[in-house]
Amino acid sequence: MVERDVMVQVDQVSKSFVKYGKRGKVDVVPVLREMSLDIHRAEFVSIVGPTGCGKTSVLRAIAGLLPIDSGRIVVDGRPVSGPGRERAMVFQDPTLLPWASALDNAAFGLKQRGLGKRERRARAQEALELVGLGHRSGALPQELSGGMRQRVGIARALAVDPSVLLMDEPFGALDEITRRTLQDQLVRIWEQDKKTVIFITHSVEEALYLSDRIFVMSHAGHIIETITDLMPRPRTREQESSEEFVMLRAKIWEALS
Amino acid sequence: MTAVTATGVPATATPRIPRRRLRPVTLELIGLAFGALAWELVGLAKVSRFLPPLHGVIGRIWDLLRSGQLGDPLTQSLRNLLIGYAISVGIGVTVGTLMAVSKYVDYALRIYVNGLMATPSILLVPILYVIFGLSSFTLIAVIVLYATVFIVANTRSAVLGASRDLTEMSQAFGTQPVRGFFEVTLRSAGPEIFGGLRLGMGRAVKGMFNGELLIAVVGLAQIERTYAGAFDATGILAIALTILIIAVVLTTALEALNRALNSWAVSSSRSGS
Amino acid sequence: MEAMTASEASSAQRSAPSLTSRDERLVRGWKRSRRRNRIAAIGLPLAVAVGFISYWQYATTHRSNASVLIPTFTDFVKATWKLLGLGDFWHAVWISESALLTAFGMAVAIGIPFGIYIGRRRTLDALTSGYLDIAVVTPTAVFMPLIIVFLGPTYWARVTVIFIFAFAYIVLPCRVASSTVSGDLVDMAHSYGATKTAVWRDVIVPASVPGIFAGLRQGIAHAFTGMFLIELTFLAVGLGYLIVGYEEAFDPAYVFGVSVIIVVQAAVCMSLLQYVENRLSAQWRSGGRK
Repeated sequence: MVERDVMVQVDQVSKSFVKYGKRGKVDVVPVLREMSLDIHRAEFVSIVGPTGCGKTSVLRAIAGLLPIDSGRIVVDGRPVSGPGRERAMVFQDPTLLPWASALDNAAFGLKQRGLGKRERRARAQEALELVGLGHRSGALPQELSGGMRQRVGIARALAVDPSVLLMDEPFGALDEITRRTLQDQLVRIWEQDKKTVIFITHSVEEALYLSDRIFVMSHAGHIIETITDLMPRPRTREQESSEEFVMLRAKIWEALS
Repeated sequence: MTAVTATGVPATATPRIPRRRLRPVTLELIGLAFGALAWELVGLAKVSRFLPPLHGVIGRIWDLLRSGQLGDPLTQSLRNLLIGYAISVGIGVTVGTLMAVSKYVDYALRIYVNGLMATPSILLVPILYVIFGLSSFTLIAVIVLYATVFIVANTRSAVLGASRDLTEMSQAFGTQPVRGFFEVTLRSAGPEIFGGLRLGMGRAVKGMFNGELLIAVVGLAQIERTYAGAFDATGILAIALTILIIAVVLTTALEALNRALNSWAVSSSRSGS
Repeated sequence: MEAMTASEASSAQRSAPSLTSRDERLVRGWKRSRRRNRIAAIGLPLAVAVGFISYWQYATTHRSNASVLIPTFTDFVKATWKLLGLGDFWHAVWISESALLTAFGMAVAIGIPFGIYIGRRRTLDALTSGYLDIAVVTPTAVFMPLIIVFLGPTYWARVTVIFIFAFAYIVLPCRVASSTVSGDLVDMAHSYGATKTAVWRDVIVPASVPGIFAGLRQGIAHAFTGMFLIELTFLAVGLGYLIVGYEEAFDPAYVFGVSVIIVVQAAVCMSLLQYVENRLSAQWRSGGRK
């Protein structure tokens, strides 16, 4: 493997929640246990795991939305202590402002950075065009389909031109056909400007199609397997029936079970 | 209901054209129109001398307006109403927001807000009368008593329920907390806050009339009382109809404002009433 | 790769004891914040009440020019205590509330079935909704004089007034509850061969229970309002007569006393309803689990 510089470093990160358990006893529920992973610059990695294994928690910790109990997260050489400009998140539910047009939604992050109206609109429009929604920039979220809404969410993240793109099961709520279209679009965009992408999913196939590396997470709240040497790019859908793909998928399933 | 056509073939064999359904709003209006017609007919039939026909009542309102008899009491009542309502909105939205934002304010006030919501406000009016005496202060205080807690409670639940996802999203994009609160949280709570304002308006109209009736005997209630003393059913109904119109007009105006400000959520804010 | 596993292993060893101490720290912090919350939840409302009463007592005993009418807190407590031992007071309660109970019972008996029924009938629902909306936004009191003119200053006039005050507020929540019973649930019942009556009995009515209780609570509150209003305006009997009497005799402490006792009584009624509702729903939930 070629040496590349580390963009995101998650080092021995732990996070637990405290709650009432049975018979009024206090329980400590760990979601992340001494978790470590390194992600390189311009790398597309996926984290797969069963529901409730803490994969969203890792992402939220990297985004700076979830304070961690111990350990350290470093992004681009700087330790994370809260949300930052170099990271942008795409949420599972696109969480668009229902009163704002697609354009204003895509410009949301830019507005928070104090950009003037004209410039942020121009850049948001560009981002919308990148996701193929340039023609719907005036539409309100309620007038858009689920897939289009998620594309606005992606445009919002792309517009701020982050070095790291954090994606929390962005296609999880979409139907299979829309999902595949958006996957292809995402690959195309990623190949254009090679951002570092951390992609959370529970779909093994999706991870295999998109990623350079796959981290498999267990219920215990840490990485149990790292899958490298995935199929060469550019990839096609036909590869999904290839022997290599099937082998890799089997390997991940084995790790998961 | 299987009708048989002229050819003897059951009608179900041909494609059924679905019966066009009237829109609920249309039906609502038909219902009201039907009631008005029934009222008019019963009135014309002279069933009781205490049930005058509708046109007589409307005529009476017109007469009162033209002779200027309605003018002064009406302005008096409406002035109190608007002052009281404005105070209620100011206190209600502020306190409700504070309760939603600060756990401690919430702890301190919640049981009192719930208590005031649950108990009939009218029971406290004699106390306000003792405190403020025979003045328009009392009337305004009654309106505030009637309307405020409902606005507080709705604002609180609106801000609490304001999409957490949106708040987190804006946090992730580095929004300043204060700015995010006003631009995202409060904005997304807007439609539900308006629900409280509308409820509060209905309550304020009640507070206005009940207060007048109970304490000072001024404004519209004064005229109604005079008519009641004279067993003048037309007059009583004329005042009742006037107040009904005021209430409906004011709440409809608020709803229109809501539609203008929160057009993105109108379909969802219309569901409750 | 090997180096990493080695460091992982060593760090796991190192951190094994610190893990538990970290957990302890977490639990301690959590318990502390729970404790703080519990103290705040009781202490803060209590502080508000004490502050309010102290201010009241202070302002009324040290007043310079303010209205002499406001009683001190202690006077109010004394008056309330006296009222509770007064036969006349309980007699007034009986006069007022016997009408309240009759009217409320009638409103419940008609309002609940009516509300549940129209909630399931689209056309009827739309036809009547205008009246219910108006009933909610307009003061019911505007129709009071008409009823007095109709029925005269009688017991039944009071019952009628209380009835129309409560009725719409009982109907509305029932109507909302039954209209929101999911069509899928009804279809499911039909698919298992439930008859029309069975669908009402086993699906719609049980699903509307929260609405029924909301209607009962709002209804009783508005029934109290109607009772109080009529007695204080057109028909001075019972509690209303008592209050007017105390007002005219410049006995403000007693005015406060009567009002507050009725407030407490209304609050107790509604808490009881809430309690019954909670018990019922808890029972159902546990019954569903077994």
